[in-house]
Amino acid sequence: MTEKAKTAVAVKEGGNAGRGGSKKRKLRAWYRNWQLYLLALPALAVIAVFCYAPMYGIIIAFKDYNVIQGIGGSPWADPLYKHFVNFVTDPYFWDMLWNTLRLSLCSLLVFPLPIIFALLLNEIRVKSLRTTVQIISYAPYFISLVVAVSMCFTFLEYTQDRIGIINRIIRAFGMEPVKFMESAAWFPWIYVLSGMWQGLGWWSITYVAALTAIDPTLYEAAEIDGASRLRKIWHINIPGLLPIVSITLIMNLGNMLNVGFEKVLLMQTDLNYQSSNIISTYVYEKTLGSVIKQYSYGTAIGLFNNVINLVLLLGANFITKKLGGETII
Amino acid sequence: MKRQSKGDFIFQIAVYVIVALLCVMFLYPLIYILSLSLSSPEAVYYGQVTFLIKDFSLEAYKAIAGKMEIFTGLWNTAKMVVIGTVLSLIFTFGLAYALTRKDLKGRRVITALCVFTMFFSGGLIPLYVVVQGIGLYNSLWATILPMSVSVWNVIVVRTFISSSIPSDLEEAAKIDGACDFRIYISVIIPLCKPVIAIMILFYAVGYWNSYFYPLVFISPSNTDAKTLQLVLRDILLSDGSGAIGEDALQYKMRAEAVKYSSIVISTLPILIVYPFLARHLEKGMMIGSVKG
Repeated sequence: MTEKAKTAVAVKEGGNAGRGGSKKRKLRAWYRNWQLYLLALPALAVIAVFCYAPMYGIIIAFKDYNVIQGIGGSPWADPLYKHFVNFVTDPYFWDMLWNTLRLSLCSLLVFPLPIIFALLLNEIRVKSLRTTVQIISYAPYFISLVVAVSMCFTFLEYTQDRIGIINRIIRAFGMEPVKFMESAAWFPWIYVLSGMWQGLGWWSITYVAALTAIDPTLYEAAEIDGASRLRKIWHINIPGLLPIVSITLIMNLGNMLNVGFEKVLLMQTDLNYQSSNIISTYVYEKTLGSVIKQYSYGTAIGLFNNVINLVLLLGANFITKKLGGETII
Repeated sequence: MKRQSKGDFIFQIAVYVIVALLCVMFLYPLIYILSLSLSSPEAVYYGQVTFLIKDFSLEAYKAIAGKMEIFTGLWNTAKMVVIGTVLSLIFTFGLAYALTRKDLKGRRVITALCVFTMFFSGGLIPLYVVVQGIGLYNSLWATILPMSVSVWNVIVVRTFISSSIPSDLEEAAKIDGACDFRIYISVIIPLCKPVIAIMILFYAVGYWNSYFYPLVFISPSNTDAKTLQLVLRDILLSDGSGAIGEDALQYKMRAEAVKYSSIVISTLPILIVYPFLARHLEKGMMIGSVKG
């Protein structure tokens, strides 16, 4: 082959590649990174199977699901929204909704505590001391819910032959011991305060981290102006925390109805059922925790729950955006 | 030393007093449980323990030795923690690294699909139906796989990689002819050590303490597959009231004592390991709070 012919062939090939190229190049862009896709694949498969496949399963809520016929074969509910109507007219409906909201509102009430704790930690000037306090404060977070709940029972016990430590203290002050775990009125507070014991240190971590990121020149300027420590906290630290606070608040609002199912289930007794019966435990009670498993009903309740959560989250996000705060989406 | 104003001095004292009280609040319950587990069952039962050990005795720990289910539970949980943590690390870091690469096609879509699952889910029953449908029900895998990828952790790792590993390193490796696997294994992973420590802590503790998936996906009759937390629930939240007759009191005392020794046995491993990993925690949480 002559030199000229070679060039011609090369040009021809190049030209071909150019013409069919846009498609091929696109394919090649996908292909070039196949190793990356392979790295991501296991995690994506898990998410597909355990997050997205169940989303398809939501249609169970619109069917009269039975195990034998499966999702596809089970007849549609008549009318389609039957299970939702059943839920809304359930004698427990308003109780459950209120119980769930009450737990969330109580949690919201103690929401500032980790922020205050972070501010306190930030005021400890001796670094080794601060680290020690932090490590101590995270420890309860690593205790399992089963153990934490059983500790509640131990500390708050009051039966005819056994009195827990808290009630012993109450009695030492000459007051009447309280049957905490059997009391519907006390239930939300025990739930929230024991959660605070476990989470106070842990939830403060993000705030502590945000505080260390505050520009030190601000403090120097305040120093020159002769500001007291409290004033520095008020004018520098708290404004510095606002963006992260707004994000966590939105996240909390988006989880209003996602009250810790496991913990409530563990804390539930016949006597506090009146205020411990929340939407998610009711789903469990009606389905997996019962002999007659009302799958469709349970799915409908779960969907109701999740949709309201999503709406609350988007709403909170929207309002914060309007107010000019930091948002998540 | 700089002079402090009187107000600041009082403020400093107040801070230390409050923090000290909080530390007592965090530690007291833990020490109390430890004391209960090491006191004699009589002292425990009649509420004579307030803080320190009363009538030292190892009775409670001896009583545990007879409870085979605790050891079955420990074994199942140990398997779950080891297998689960390894899988979780592989899954999480693989996805996280892929998502840091700007040349990855469909990166935004994949990210959006992952993040969406943090805010919306199918709910308990559809998940249950899926797990049963693919035949995982009642197996160890049903307690591991559904919680093996936490999107939150993926975002933390992704943010760590893209913010603290300079992309020049990857470029250099690429020029040297390294493929993506090679870059991942030899360049990225060795530089991820701090975040690996945090992820091990998060996932391992998550598996160790997980209660939801074992509760839902392990049938109550399947005693061999029960994890530690399920066994603990049976032990801790029962009051031993089934016992009647002369030995009833003895039985109740024993049941009460076993509670505390099993709490200690099941919690101590975590509380011993965690301070070693704790120093990485703050850094990890800081990465997580950066908007991704």
